[in-house]
Amino acid sequence: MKRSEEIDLFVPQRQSIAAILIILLKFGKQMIRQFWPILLIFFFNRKASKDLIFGIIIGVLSLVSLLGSIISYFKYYFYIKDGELNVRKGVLRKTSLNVPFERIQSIDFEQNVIHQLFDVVAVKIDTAGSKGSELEIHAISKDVAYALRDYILKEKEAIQGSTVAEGESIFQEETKQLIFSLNPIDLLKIGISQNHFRTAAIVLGIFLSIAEDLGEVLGFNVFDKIEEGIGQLVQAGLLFIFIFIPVFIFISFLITLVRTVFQYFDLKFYKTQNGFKLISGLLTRKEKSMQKDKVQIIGWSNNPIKKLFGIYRMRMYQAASVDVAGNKSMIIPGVYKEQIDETIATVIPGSVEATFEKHGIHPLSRLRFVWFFGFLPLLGVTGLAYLNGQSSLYMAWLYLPVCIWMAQQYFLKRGFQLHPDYFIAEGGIFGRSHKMIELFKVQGVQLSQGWYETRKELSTIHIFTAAGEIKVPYIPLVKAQKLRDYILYRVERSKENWI
Amino acid sequence: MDQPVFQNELIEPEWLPRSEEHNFTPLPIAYRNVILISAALFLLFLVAGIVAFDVFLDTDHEFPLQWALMGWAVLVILIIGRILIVFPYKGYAIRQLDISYKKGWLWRSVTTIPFNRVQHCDIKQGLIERQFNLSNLNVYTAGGQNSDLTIPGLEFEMAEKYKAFILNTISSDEEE
Repeated sequence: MKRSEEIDLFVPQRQSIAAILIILLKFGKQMIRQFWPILLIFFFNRKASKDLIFGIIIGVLSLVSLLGSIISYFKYYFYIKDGELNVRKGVLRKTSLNVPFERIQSIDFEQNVIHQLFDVVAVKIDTAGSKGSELEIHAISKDVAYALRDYILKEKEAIQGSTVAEGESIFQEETKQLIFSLNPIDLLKIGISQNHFRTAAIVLGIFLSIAEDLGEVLGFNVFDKIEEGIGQLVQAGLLFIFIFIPVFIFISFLITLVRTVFQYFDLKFYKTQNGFKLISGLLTRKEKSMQKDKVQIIGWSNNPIKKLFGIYRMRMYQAASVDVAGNKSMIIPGVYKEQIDETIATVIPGSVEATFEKHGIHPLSRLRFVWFFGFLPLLGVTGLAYLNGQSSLYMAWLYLPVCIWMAQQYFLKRGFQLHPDYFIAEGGIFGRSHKMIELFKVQGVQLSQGWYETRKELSTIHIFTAAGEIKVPYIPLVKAQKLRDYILYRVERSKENWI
Repeated sequence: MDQPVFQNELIEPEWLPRSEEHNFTPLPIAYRNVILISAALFLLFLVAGIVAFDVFLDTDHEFPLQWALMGWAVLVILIIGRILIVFPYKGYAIRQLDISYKKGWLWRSVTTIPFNRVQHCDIKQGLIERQFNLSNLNVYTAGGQNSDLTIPGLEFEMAEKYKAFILNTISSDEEE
């Protein structure tokens, strides 16, 4: 067996010395997150007698965490033995972890500012087990990290019987080909076209929870104060709508923009020998890899602004254990159609040129849409308006035509495309979304009917994959049954390895 | 990586085996009794609670016992009625290559899992079910909770047989 001359992965070794700092900071961050209300109390009720106690507590805590970080650094070893990655760690409670290579799902690298300063990386290793079975090496030098990953991936391949061409060196340079690199203008486009309403909701949520905590600590109700302040605005009514909401949306817009830049700065998307690699981030650089065989669903979608720019958001879903699906997908927030096609062609060769049979959903879906999202809510609002005598609320009925338009869009865009080997679910109201799977990777199929669907002989098909569920509603029952029977036939006949 | 030779023969929809043609086997009637008994136990506890509340409550507030009991009676009719109506809609079908379970009266669903996608399966038994020699057959896939399938109320020996059949099919599938 060949080994690299300089790096011996088989001898237990410690992390890079920078790990002390990183562990310490992590610890500090956790402490602040836990105890910030207490800290706040001390800052607001300052008394000389308490200051001393406070100082002592802070001092002791800092010292303890510093010592803890140093000791845990010296007690942490990792090495490779018998086809397993071994980690020994723990100060008071010693733990020894063995992770067999074949159970390792992904090896990702991450660098925050400190990592970049010391030129080290954090390694995150995800296994096929349940949640919490991830393994993290806080900081090791880049060379060791790459050697470790290359070695594990090569060995893993050998174990699983995949072909490693003869004569190939174990430690050959990784061949990778750049599919897409994000330039600043595209980054800006992405920032502008992100979902700002989602940010607005998150900002509102964070604000509410902080306000609640603050209220408890400071002993007054933050909401009351704010309400007092906004009170005059609300009295003006329309002023509220025309000032507060645009300001709020503008703030959300700025936050999304900044977040996007931090998260996706200098994004690079590579095609590697057996999969993909994604590197991005300004302060924290993340590197994520995914093997192409493991991809279960490829999704791409746009919204009106993205459509204007001609860009899509692409997401690849990997087989995921339990509910940590978010962690196991790869998101590229803005790519052009050619790159999506290239990616699809890599994962599912031959599928880009394939001809698909297009199927829509039943026109009755429009009625149901207007009923649930238009008529029923409006009826509620009208009842409220009647009871309170607020005639201005009747204006809400202006929303009905919008809802009817949305229903029409929903009906036109929802549906599926079928090919003997592939399936694409389509949807969207303002934009368009697509999710593509290979039929032999399907895990199960379900047809469901609500009472309305039963009456109208319609049905919803649920297609389960190892990376989540895809569904298409309002399909004529007979067609849905035929589709289900075909998918089952395709899966049951298949001898291909689905994962 | 060796690619399998690409095959793509024409398939007429009429050739495909149709799941609907296969008759679903209804669940054993004894299982309905199990559901009824557990519902009855729940309702008995509930009425006992209501009466106890009335007895031990401070007499400051008049507890509207007759209204509470009336509400309870409506609940009895709803729960028992639902069980009786919904039960005939439950059923399962085991074919050579897959297993299906259907359920629901207002909200119906039929779930099918091909055997070559089953990760593992097991049998579970509740306290009341054990008295009636019934058990639940669980079939798990990699598709997450939604695609896992449970056939409840099977006679224990039957469940064992099915489990053995499925496991046997999986392992012979893997040997190929």
